[in-house]
Amino acid sequence: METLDYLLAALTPFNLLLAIGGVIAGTVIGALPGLTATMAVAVLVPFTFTMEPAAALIVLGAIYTGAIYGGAYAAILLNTPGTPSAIATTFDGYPMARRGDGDLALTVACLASVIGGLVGAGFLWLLAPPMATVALKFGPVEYFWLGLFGLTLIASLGEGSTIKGLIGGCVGLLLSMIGVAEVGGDIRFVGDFKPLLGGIDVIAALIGLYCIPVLIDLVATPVAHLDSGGRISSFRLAEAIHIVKNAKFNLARSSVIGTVVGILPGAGGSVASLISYSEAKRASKRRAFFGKGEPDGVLATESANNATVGGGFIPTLVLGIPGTPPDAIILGALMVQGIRTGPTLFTQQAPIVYTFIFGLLLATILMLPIGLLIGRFAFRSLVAIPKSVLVPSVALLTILGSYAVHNNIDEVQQMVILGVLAWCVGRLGFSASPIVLGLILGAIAERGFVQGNLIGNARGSVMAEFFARPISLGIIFFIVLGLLWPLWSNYQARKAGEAHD
Amino acid sequence: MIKRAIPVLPLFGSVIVIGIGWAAVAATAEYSELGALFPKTVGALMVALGFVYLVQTLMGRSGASAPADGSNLRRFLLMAVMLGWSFSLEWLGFLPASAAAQAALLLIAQHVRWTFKKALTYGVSTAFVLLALYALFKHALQVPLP
Repeated sequence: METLDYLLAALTPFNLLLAIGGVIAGTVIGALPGLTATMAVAVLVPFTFTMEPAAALIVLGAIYTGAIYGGAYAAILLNTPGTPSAIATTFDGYPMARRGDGDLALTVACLASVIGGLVGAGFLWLLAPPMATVALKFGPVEYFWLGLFGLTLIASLGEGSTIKGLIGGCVGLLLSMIGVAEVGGDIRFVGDFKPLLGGIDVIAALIGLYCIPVLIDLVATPVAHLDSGGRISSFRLAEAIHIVKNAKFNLARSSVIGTVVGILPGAGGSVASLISYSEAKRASKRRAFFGKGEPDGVLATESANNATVGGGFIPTLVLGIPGTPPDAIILGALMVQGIRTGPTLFTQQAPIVYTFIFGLLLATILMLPIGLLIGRFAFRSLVAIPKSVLVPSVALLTILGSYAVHNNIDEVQQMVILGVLAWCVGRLGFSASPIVLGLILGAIAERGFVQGNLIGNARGSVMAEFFARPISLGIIFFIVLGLLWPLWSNYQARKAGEAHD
Repeated sequence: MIKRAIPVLPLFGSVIVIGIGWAAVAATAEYSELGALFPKTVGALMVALGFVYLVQTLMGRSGASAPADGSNLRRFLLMAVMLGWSFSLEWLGFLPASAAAQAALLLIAQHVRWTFKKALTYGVSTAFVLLALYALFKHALQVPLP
């Protein structure tokens, strides 16, 4: 009966209006390259200070979930992830748009985001306290293995050459070390060039690595930037539903991966979407089509990144430890509201928490009609815009996006230089994704590795610290599986080919 | 006997990779033990991978992309404009630097002959986007643009 009360509290016209406004604002901000979900929540959080706690939480959750989904627009239509969590959406989303299936990719992304978001929020509703306890068992060593697990994805991301993928990953790792080291405090790879002291910003690097090469090639030929496929007036909803129906297992696995990664503090949507993409590719019978416009790839990444929203709220609400950067801002907003997070939150302030959870579920459901409408508008507009107007506008967004992260001109220069370099190395057959992966996972892996070493030394056995903890062993199992699976599947394919001959 | 052309770019690329890896390892001499551990490992790995890439290149398996279609002049002009834009923001200010860069990019990206109507429509649209995004970032999102 109480549950019904909380549901009705979330369904008041005012909360409904807030959820709609939050989803629209979040989607639009998330769609602009460089404006992340974190920024969307940070910019709009002051507007919630005068609201009731539950209403404030609903609007923040709606902005957050909308922004994560919004990142897919730029990823699919411009090959530039609107938010870092949409990196992997570019792999198949942009090729789909290039061949005239951009509308289908946007609808698939919308359905996947809604389903992933619902799974994440469902876990938050039903399993928050026990799952947060498990997350607490993750120490530095587990984070190191998690980072390494992410890096093994290079093998599946490298298009054609594993060696080039690994070299790209190493370049990314080295880029992640530029600046002041988190452990030890050394100033590394800076020399006398002071602007690099703060390191390479991941968002600026993302925009540069993904967007600038596209712009460079876009101006070179008179060919249209996107193919409309002659179907720009349709949502292609039935087709998208059919794809989703056929990929139920992929969707469930990716949503669970997203939720679990979201629970781990510091991991976030980018790691979740990369892991789920890799798993989807590994398990798919159509793995040869991944990276060339396979809808299952978009489905995996978008369901996973939206599932991190609900997942990230689990440690935030139960333990007071933010699962993702936007959660940290929402945690601050909760403190302003006078809400004390912790294990007792679900009992002492149940009306606020459960109203929020139902509000989050509501916002996620609202994302379906809102997302479909905005997606259709975005696709039609982008196809209709002449290339010579699109190029300066997208270039402006890259400059604004990379500047707005820290209001720093140095990061704009980093973005352009990295973009030009990415185009140059692209001519040698290197792709940007392994570099980005190394850049994102470098800090997580190094922190875990060095801290694990220190703890192991203090306890008398570094080997035991790294190889004898149950969660570590579980992750190591997946790492080995990740490395051996491509070899095994290649062997199977070769054997099948020989039998066929 | 068929003579194979020497893949200059991939060869150059593999030497660069080895050089970067070696430089990363060399730089760690100045760092503390904790700070040197990870970059030394990654640098050494990069040197090893660079040698594998070098061997692959010499065996004719560099996998470099085919020469890019289209106008390289336009490509280099775009790179120059983007670099100029990013480095002139501080001393020219956001609006003047962006207006100049936008106009240049409009010209670079246009492949069809200009007409008065096109010039007016495209010019006004680009200026509108610039001013709208300027207003959004500067006033709504309170980003202190230079």
